[in-house]
Amino acid sequence: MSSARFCCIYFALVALAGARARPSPIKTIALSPVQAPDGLEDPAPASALFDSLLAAELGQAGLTVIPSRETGAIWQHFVDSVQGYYSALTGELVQAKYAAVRTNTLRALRDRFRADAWLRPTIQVVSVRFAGGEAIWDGASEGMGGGSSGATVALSLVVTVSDTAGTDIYIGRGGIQALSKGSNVVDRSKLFRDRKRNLQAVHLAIDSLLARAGRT
Amino acid sequence: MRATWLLALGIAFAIAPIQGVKTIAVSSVEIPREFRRLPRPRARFDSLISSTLRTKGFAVVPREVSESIWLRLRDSIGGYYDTYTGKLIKAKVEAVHMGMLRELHARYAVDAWLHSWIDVVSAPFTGGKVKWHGAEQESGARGGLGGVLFGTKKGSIRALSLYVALEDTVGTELYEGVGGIELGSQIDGGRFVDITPGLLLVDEARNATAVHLALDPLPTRLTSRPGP
Repeated sequence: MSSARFCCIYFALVALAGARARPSPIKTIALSPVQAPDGLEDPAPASALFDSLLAAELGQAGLTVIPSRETGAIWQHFVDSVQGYYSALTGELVQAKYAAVRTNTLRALRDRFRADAWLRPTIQVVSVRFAGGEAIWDGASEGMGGGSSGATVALSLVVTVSDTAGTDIYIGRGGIQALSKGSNVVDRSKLFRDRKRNLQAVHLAIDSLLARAGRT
Repeated sequence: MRATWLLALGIAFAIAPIQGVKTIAVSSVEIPREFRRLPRPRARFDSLISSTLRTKGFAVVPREVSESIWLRLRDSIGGYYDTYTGKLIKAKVEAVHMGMLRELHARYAVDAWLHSWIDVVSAPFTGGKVKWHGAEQESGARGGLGGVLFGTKKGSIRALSLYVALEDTVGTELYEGVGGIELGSQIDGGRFVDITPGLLLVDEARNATAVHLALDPLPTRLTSRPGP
């Protein structure tokens, strides 16, 4: 084999390996309904708020977004087909049932909507330790009022993105706001009122994903 | 003679179970998820609770009895969790709970059921000492002279407490008690450091103190309860 021919084959193999290793770009992304934490009396407005913020930001970045009502309906169909994926005896997740629902949902999103990725957002309660009178968590910060150091609880937006094979390819987090300051618990009616904080949480959670997808 | 009678009455009163509650059924102490792989603390607390109740004059029906009744009743209704959400269905769990109390009373002449659990709590501190639920421990923060010279830290820190609740056989709560066990974190160089779960709940003296803190007021509270 001549050295020129050897070089051609070598570079072709390297290029092929590189193409395989590089993840395919995200063009169409399925958005699931935002899961809100248990403690909220009426979680629907908070879910709808972050749902629309996420859809808008992803759309503005040039992605085609499969709306959460479509993704949610597909998920619910497969949950119904196994009559729920939690054990009635222990309340624990039955892995086999959950995996079946997840796999079937991914397949349906890929086949029906040509989705490249699936984004599942949740609002989570996180514990935060603070010092110097300020809590800093998941990219956000907030003054704690009284108490120079200690522990508090706060809300964060967490997004998990899977590819169509079901592999989690991205996790992003953005702090929203503290649930208590010192001994004062923030009134539930005052949660999610700060539009700047809400939008900042969305950016903190998804900007790296968009950058990775070359959308910023 | 009279003095002897009075002495005998006094001793009898001191160790006699409270009128109305003579026999208590216990359940195994519920412990936070992060400690569930450690069977020793659970068994140790179960044993401490039972022995403390006995020394206070109560007859104790062991945890295996109430647990087997609970599991049988739970299985008979096909479980009490929602298979769609994983959450408890209150009406179903309440049916199991009341069924167990009825059976404990009918078959084992139980007067009350004691359940207990360990919870992670937030304990306030100022300087070196943390005081919560009757317990006291050093936080690791500066206190005393160091606090005077360099400033005193204040805030809250993770701690473990034992809770107990006693209810009669129709589900009415008769008593609730709590005792601090130990800190779950320490302050080291101005930072909170979590203590490894394997090192927690193993201090026999602290465990015993927490059980006493939670249960010692029980006889007094039961006697001071107004009658029906």
